[in-house]
Amino acid sequence: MPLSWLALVHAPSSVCAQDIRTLPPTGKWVTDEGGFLTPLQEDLLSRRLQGYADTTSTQIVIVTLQDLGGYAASDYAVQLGRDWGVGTSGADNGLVILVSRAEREMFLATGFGLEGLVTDAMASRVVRNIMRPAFRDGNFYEGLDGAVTAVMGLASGYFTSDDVVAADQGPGSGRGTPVIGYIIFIFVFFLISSVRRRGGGGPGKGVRRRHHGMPIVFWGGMGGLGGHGSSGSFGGGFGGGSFGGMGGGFGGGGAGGGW
Amino acid sequence: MNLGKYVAIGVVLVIVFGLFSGVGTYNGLVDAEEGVARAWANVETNYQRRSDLIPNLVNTVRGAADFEQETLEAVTNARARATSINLDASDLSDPARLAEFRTAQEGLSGALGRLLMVTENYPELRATEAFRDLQSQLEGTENRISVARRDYNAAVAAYNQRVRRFPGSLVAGITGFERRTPFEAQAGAEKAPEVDFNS
Repeated sequence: MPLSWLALVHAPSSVCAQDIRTLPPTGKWVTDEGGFLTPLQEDLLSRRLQGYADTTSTQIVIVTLQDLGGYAASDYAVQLGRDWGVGTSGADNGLVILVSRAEREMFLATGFGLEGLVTDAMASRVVRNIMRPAFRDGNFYEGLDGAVTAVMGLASGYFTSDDVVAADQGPGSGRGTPVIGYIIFIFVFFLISSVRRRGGGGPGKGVRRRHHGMPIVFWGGMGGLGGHGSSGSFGGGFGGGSFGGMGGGFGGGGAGGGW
Repeated sequence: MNLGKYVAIGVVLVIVFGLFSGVGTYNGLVDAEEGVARAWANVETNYQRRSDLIPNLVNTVRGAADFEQETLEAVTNARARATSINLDASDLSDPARLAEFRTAQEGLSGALGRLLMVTENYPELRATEAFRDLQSQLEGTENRISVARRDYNAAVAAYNQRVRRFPGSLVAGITGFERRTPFEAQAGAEKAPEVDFNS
């Protein structure tokens, strides 16, 4: 019974999950599933991206794949940006560079905060004029490195680390009612149990057992009552990339193409 | 006597729980409904963004020598039709209104698709950086539309589930929350126009 209550209550949040399944967050700046880079090249790129994020707070993530699993490159890149939370919260200054081997496709997905600087047209130029020619010659590192240079140039100086400190404290507030509900419930529960204890027979072991059983039942029920107020957000549920990803505001901006 | 006290406490508890759960459920419904309205506003914004790009595209294409006039006119007319239909939050529970909006926008998608196809015959136009920029902007807008539509449908699904499920169904019934209509794209229409960069 308590379990079914819980299931009923917490089911709605699973509806928010998108139907595109992306790579689980690796917490790395460069994730080379597609095997385009040598460890040294991966390291060089990672250092550049790390350094850039440290100074500007703009997070650029490179992800290469063996294949896109049937999804469009743009959809995959956007969803990955959201799932990983690329960018900083509030500023949404993340950018995903996605390259897939099987489809020979790439996509630059820009977070909301970068759309004005790395416009679709500019992203498309980066893809057309920098990445594609290099990729066609098999120079994947040169293509990615050039794209990173270009994107950094475009995005430069717009966000500084200072801008983000305040914004990072944004989410997680404003859900008072359920907590109060829980507190009141706990209070009421103890009231009942104390009344019962006084009124009930001797403190036999069996009776104790039943008292111990109670909180689980009621807790489950209360979770149901209070929980409804809190689970109303749709954007939530980022895995939280360990590169500090708290953003994830991607709306489909960017450009891509094949090579 | 003792029993009466328990009953009284029990009644008070039920009322308190009912109140809390009712308020919590109601607030949850309000949040979910706002989520739907926000997601819809985003859908409309992105369609609007596409409409805003079209005059620029038409002008750029018109510059190309002897470009087919009827193709351009079809786009301009479809744009006028599409921009004439705007839905507000209260229309979202009406499938007919949503279908009307969708049909108009898909008409514009079709006209744009034909225009881009015809430009295949004008390689010198397609080679210009201005046209390529426009094309990438158009493509980016289509991506945004598809993302916004998916978000809207997710918001609608979450909201509708709240409205249908107990205890949301009870509260929704009393306070008048209606189900919202998801944005169903026509088969194949959800795919953004394919742009071939190799030509």
